[in-house]
Order: sequence, then structure tokens, then C-alpha cells
Amino acid sequence: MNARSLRLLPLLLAAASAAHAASYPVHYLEPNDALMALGTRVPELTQDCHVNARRASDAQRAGMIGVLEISCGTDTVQAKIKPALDAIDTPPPTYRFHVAVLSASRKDGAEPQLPASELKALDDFKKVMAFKSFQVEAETVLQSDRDAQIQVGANYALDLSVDRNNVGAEAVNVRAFKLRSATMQATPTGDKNFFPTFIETSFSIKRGETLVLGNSTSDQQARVVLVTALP
Amino acid sequence: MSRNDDLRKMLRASDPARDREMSPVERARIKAALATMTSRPSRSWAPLLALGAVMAAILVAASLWISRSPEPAEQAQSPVPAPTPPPVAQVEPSRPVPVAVSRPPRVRRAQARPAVLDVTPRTTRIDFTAPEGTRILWFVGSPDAKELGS
Repeated sequence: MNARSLRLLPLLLAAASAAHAASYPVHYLEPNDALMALGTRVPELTQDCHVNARRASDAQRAGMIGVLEISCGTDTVQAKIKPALDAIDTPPPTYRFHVAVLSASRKDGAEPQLPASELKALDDFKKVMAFKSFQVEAETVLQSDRDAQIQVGANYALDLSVDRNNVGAEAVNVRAFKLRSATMQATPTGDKNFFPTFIETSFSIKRGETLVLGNSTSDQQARVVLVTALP
Repeated sequence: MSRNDDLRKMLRASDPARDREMSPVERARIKAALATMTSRPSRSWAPLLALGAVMAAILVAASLWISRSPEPAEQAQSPVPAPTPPPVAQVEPSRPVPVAVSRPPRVRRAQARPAVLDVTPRTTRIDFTAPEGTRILWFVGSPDAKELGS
């Protein structure tokens, strides 16, 4: 009997450990980040469990970013992991922006059709700069949680990158805002083609605020860009 | 020149054959002789130039001699020439490298600057707030589509 029990011991151990092992899909966080955050919520994880974080090679097709493989000595620890991970692994906040590219002129003209908050910002802008009329060239609504690239009308392309580290803050930190031409142009010498960049900057903007960006294109005209962080 | 003219007049006046018509050969000879006489004043600068050259050579030689003279004096004063070889050996290795190496990078930097300036467009961002609180970011000197791009 003793010899038999000794032979069966590895199988029994394997069965026991398998009973306390589990895999947890991670949908939004980096697997290693999820593991680190999980360790602070479930302290037993670092003492009683063996953990392994695997990242999916194709997250889009897999439908998840990766998997946490966790095997623990007791079921009580495993029972704590799932709710803790659900609380951590949440979709990142998305930001919506209304971007309007306007052609500003020093001559009188009709008022553009824009939301009231943006018209107010434009009126405020007119008090400082000597432009009297505005015409909407292109506009778009952009939604993103990190990096986005979108064509604005026929002539413009916009690259926008939001800093994800300011989660929960009232202001959105736009770390890269690049408005460029959607069509390739040749240099004056004609030996090289390129996409001209009109505005490249970074800024922080509160939700609901309208920011006015712009540059002069001639002594009579300017390119004005209204960026509104939608609530 | 005036002396030569006077001389010519005197020669003509005292010439017994002045009423005789000269042959073309004689005229040519006289012209050649006069030509050689007029070139004399230019020749007179040659000795001066030679003298100047000699003086300059003497001056250079004297300056060289003065500049070299301390070395033999030291050698003459030092009674024992034995310790002199080590200093010579120390001087030779420290001669060549640093100056020759430091010059070429300076030249390269000077050549590279214009290219860098041409490539990078410079814009100035003016960040200000309108009376009712609207924030405005205005870009001065930004490249337009018709001019340049990045």
C-alpha cells in the first residue's frame, strides 16, 4: 500500500494543484500591469500563488490583450482574484473632440454655422484678432482613448494623441495635435514630395472648453482651428 | 631725358656731316643707339633693387642668427651635456597631434549648420487668453502649404 500511495502521490499533487489553477483574460490592461495592480488588491497573490502573464500576439483577433495564469494553494485566494481583476480591467476613458477648420478673413462676411459655445469662442477671438468673417472649410468629431488619425474634409488630416495617464482629471492632456495637408505637395525645387504640416502642438483642454488655434496664411487671411473637448 | 636731348643737340651741332643726307642704315643705328640711351634710367633701379634684396637677405640672416644664438650659448655654458638627451626625447612625442586634429571638426560644423537651418521650420507659439476667457494658441511663422512643410 505504501508503495502504491507513493506512486500515486505525484498524480494526486498534480490534481490538487490543477484544482486551484485558473486563467483570467485581460481585455484592456497590459497583462503585466494587470498583475501588478492585482497584487496590491490581493496581497496573498505574491505569497501563495504562482503567476504568469502572457500577451496575445494578435489582440484584436484574440479579443483580449492577454491572459493571467494563476495557480494558488487555496480556493479562497482564487475567489478574490476575479472580482479584483474585474474592478481593475476596465475600458479606458474615451475623449471626444469637435474639430473645425475655418478660413478667416479681414473682410466682412456671413457668420459660420457652429454650435453656440464655439460661436462664443469665435466672438471672443474677434475681440483680440482683426478678423471679421469665418468660413468653415472642414469639420469632424473625433473619439479616441489614445492615438487617432482622421481625415478632416478633403484637404486636411489630423493626428491626435491623448495622454492616458491623466485618468479622472478634469482637463484632457492632448500630447500631440498635428493638422496637416491630406494631399501630397512638391517642394518649390520640385525634387521632393511631402505633406505640409499647418499646426503641430500640444495642450491641455477642459471638457466643454473650446480652444482656438491658428496661423496667418496671408496678410488678409488666416487658418483658424476650433477644438472643443466634448463633455 | 633733358640731358640726353641736350646731348643730341650738341652732337648734331658739332656733326661735320649734318648737312649730308643719312642712309637708312645709319638712321636705324642712331635710333637703336638712342633707344639704348633712353633705357638707361630704368637700368639704374636694378642696383637699388639688388641692394635692397641683399639688405633683406642680411636682415633675415641676422634675425635667424639671433634666434638661434641662445641654443649654442646654453650648450656652451652647460659643462655636462649628458642630461640633454632625455628632454629632447620628451619634446618629440608631444609635437604633432592636437592642433591638426582639432581643426577639421570646426570646418565640418561650419558646413553642416546651414543644412540644419534649412530643414527645421521654426514657429513661435503665442499662448494668450481673450477677454471672456477663450484660450488662443497662435502660431507665428508657421510654414504655409505654399511655402514649406515638415
